[in-house]
This record gives sequence, C-alpha cells and structure tokens, in this order.
Amino acid sequence: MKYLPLLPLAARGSFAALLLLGAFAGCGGEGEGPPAPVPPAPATWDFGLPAGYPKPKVPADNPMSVDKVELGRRLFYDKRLSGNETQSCASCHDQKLAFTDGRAGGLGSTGEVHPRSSMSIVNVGYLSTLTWANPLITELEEQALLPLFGETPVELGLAGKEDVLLERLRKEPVYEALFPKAFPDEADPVRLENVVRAIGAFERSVISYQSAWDRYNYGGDSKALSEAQKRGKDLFFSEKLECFHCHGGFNFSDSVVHDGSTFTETMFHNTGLYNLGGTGAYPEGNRGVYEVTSVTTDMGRFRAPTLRNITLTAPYMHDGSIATLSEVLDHYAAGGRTIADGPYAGVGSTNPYKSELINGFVLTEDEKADVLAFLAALTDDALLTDPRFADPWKQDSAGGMP
Amino acid sequence: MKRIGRIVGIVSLAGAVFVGTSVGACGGETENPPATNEPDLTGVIYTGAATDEALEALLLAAPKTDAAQGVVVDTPAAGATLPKDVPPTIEWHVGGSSAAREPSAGERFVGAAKAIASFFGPREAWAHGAPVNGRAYLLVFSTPKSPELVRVFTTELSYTFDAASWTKLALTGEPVTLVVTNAIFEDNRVAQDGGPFTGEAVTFSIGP
Repeated sequence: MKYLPLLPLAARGSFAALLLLGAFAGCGGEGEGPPAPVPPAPATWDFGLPAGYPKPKVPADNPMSVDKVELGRRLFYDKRLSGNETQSCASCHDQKLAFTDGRAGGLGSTGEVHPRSSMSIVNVGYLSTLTWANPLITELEEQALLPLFGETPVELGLAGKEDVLLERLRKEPVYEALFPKAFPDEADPVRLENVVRAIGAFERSVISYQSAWDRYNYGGDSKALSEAQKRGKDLFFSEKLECFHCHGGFNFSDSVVHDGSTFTETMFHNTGLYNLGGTGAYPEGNRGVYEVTSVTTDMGRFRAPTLRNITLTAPYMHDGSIATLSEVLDHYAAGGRTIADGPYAGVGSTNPYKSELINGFVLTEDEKADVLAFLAALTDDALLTDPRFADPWKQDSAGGMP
Repeated sequence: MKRIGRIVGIVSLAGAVFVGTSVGACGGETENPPATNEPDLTGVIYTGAATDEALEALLLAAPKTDAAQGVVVDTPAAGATLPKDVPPTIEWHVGGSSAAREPSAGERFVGAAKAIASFFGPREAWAHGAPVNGRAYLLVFSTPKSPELVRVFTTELSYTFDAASWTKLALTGEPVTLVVTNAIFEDNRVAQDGGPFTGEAVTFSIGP
C-alpha cells in the first residue's frame, strides 16, 4: 500500500458514493422478524505496550478488537485486494524491511512506478497526517482507500472493481467467519467501509517498542546501548545536529498524535533536497505540500518520517533519491544537496523555502559512525519477525501461528 | 440607523464585559498571596538530557510503588564503604530490565574517564534543549542530619560525582542514603502510567 498525494476528484466521488451505499446497505432489514441472538462482545484489544509508552489514538467509530485486527491482517496480506490479484498491501510493505519495499518508488500491480517511496506502516497509528505530504489525510481508514482505488498512479488497481472485490471476499470461508466477528452489529458486514476499517485496525496494532533504544530509554536497561550508540545519541539530540527537532519524541517524528494527547502536531519540512535552477522548485509532480495547497512556501515540504527501523528502510527521502544513511547525513551536514548537472541541477542549501533548522554541521568520521550506530539502535528486531504481524495465509499453510 | 444601532450595541456589550471581568478579577485576591506549588529545584545537578521542566513535573506527581518499574542500585552496594578521595560512579537499572550484570572492562574505563572529567565540576542547570522523552532519574543523597544534601537529575543510567559534591557528602561523616525515583516522560511531562516510581533505598558509608 503506497501513498498518493490526492486522488482525482472523480475517483474520490465514487469512493464517497460507495461508502454511502455501503452505509445504507448495512442498515437494511433491521426491525423485521424475531430478534437475532445477541452475539458475544468482541474481545477488546491490548496493545501490550510497556509502562509509559503512549497508546495510539483509536477513532470512536472503529474501536479495536482481536477479531478486527485479525481480519485486517488477513486483508493486508491478501492479493485478492488488487485488481489483477498480483499484489497485496504487503507487496510494498514487507515486514522484514520494517514494512517498506526497498525501492525508490513503489511498484504498482500494473507495473506503474509511484513517484514516492513506500512509507513504513510501523507506528503509523501515531501519525497526525498520513502520506508524505498531504495534511488533509489524517485517518488510516481514509488513507487505505488510496492504494486500493487510486489511478494516478495505479497501485492495487481496484478502481471500478469494487463489486468484484467484495464478491471475492464473500467467497473466502475465512472471511465468512471473520467479518461477522469483527463487525457483530451488522447484518451484512462484507462492505468496503469495513475492509478499510479492518486494515486500519491492523495497521494501528503494528507498533515498534522493543529496539535497543527502547530497552535503554524506556526499559532502564543500562547495557542495551553500546558506548558508540550512547555517543551517537548525545550527538543526535544536540543543538549541533538539530536532528531531534524534526525527529524527536517517542516516535522520532514531529507529526504525532496519541491517546490522551491534547495538542496535535502537524509539521512538514523542506530539507533542501532540490532547488531546480535556483528557484526553490522541486521536481514536477513531487513538490510536497505544494501539490495540495499550491502555496509557494509549501514547495518541497514533506513530513518527517519516523526514524524507527531506519536502517532497514533504504533508499531514503520521499523519492528514495539517497541510497544510504551515511549519504543522508552528508546531505544534512551540507545544509542541503547540490546536484551539479542534469534536469534536477541546483544547490539545495540555498533553497529559499528550506527549513531554518537545516543549516549544516561538521562531523568527524568517528562522530558520524557514532550517529549511525545510534540510528541502528532504533531497529526493532522483534517486530521484523513478530508472528502477530506476519502473513496469516502462510501461517495457515504452515500449520498456524507459532 | 441600523449601523449606528450595531455600534451602540457593540460598545454597550464591550462595557458590560469589561465591568464583569474587572469585578471578577478583583474578587478576593487582596487578602491572600497567590498559592504556589512549584517545587524547589535549587542546587539540583542535571546530567544527560535532563531538563528542569521534567524534574518539576516529576516532583509534582504522586509517586507510585512498582517493583518492576523502580530502580535497583547496582553500585554502590548496600553497606559498602567508599573512599573519601575518589568521587565514585553510581550505577543503577530499572528492576524489570535485564541489565544487572558486572560492567565490562570498557565500561569500567568509561567510568574512570567520567571520574576524571568530574573534577571540572557539575552542570547546575539544564533546560530548554530537547525535551525529555523516556525515563529520567532523580537521585537523592541524604544523611540523617542533612536530608536531600545532593540531588541529581539525569536521563543516564549512571552518575559520576564531581569532586565538590562528593566532598560535600564526605564531610558530613555520616552514612549516606540514596533513593532513586524515576518517571517516564513524554516531552517533559510524566507520561500516562509513567510513574513516578520510587526505588528502594541504599545506605553506604564514606571512609575516613
């Protein structure tokens, strides 16, 4: 599942119509015949987080439950959720790569390449805005529609095949049992609205909290970090490097919301990655928040992604245009990227719309190695093999979850 | 006419609001000075990424007892006698973590280096940098006659005394009791279910 800046209006209109139809369909037939037996209350969801670790904010109209998360996991890994049944959400969000795909631009089910890289879904339940640069998309359930039905570019390619999708799902015995459990109050729960609700619930459950950094910083395990990682931590949180301003807090991102938070932060930054012809422009079609607002000062502004598991999510930046973390540090050390020639030539450090926090810094090779060591401490190895987030269809064929 | 009427109405409403807020603001404030519950942070030594905002939040929150979340002091051991002339390194871990083990040679070297660096003196204020996210620890060293003689607030899991603070404790000639209270913070605020958690006290002596 990748992220689109905006869907064409026509496509969005059809989504809305679908959701409305679904809502009416869900209401049909009530009040007739004998009262149905009261189903057991769905098992509530336990995020299982350590003390003091924030819980994701759960929408009131999509409460978490064990069955719903399981349904969402099934759907996430189900290739029937693409038009030609070749891809699932997991095709671009691979667990072993911290739910990214290792590509500069996501590859859609029909072969189209997305202009932006696939974002990790780890800790996505804490984000105040979704996608790389769209302040309008704030709910996972809403975002899930984009890769399913988006046409610019085609990702999962289900636009116009909504009925086909639901028919496929109705034929699957696992879903025949799971949809009613996940949505026990509905007579006909196999609806598009519930598909994205279940996927959203699963995504909200994918939380990283077991990295070496977490064991040190939250768990109070003094041995969890190496000395190099501790030195790197001090540099990372220093005013010299300024990293923490955009990649701070428990989620190493400055656009965060969670259960109990009183203030929702939504931030986007131009890091001086481009400066086409000295005008401040970014490449056409990939200009950040500007694509949504058309406000000049929004040129090149993108959301700072979480740095959790960052060593696994190469290539980097919104367009995957930097191959390694070492080169990312070089980019920030220079206060912006200089592209000497070609269509994207320009001196990023002089981009007029660049964040005032990107001013460059000097790191020795040893210091750079320490910062990289610290970033490696953000890798949550347990998450990469956690059976709760793994492909359930493969688990079925292997005899169930270990 | 309508416009004049609106202006008159606005002026009247503004006057009423002014009188109302003025009366409300004056009521009962002359007799008692405003109460303050700001904790005393005087003399606290800050290390790591600890901030005074986080410490204030910790001191204002009601402490909880949870053995799994409380701090266990690794060094010094209870009942130990520490040399007066060598500022020691205090080390601890959270009870529920798996950190309790002997330090490696490299870690001992770092501890010694910190001890040397400590002669350059403590940092006595630290604020307005990166907010605290995660755990921070308040170390309170007390003697029978001098409660809270030295206080240290840190985000690290060890603290090496500076010479002046260590001398202050040593000169008392009394046994020293250390209590470490920790809390989990989010942006300098104590997080939901984040404590503060009080650890068990450890008493040690300082040799002649």
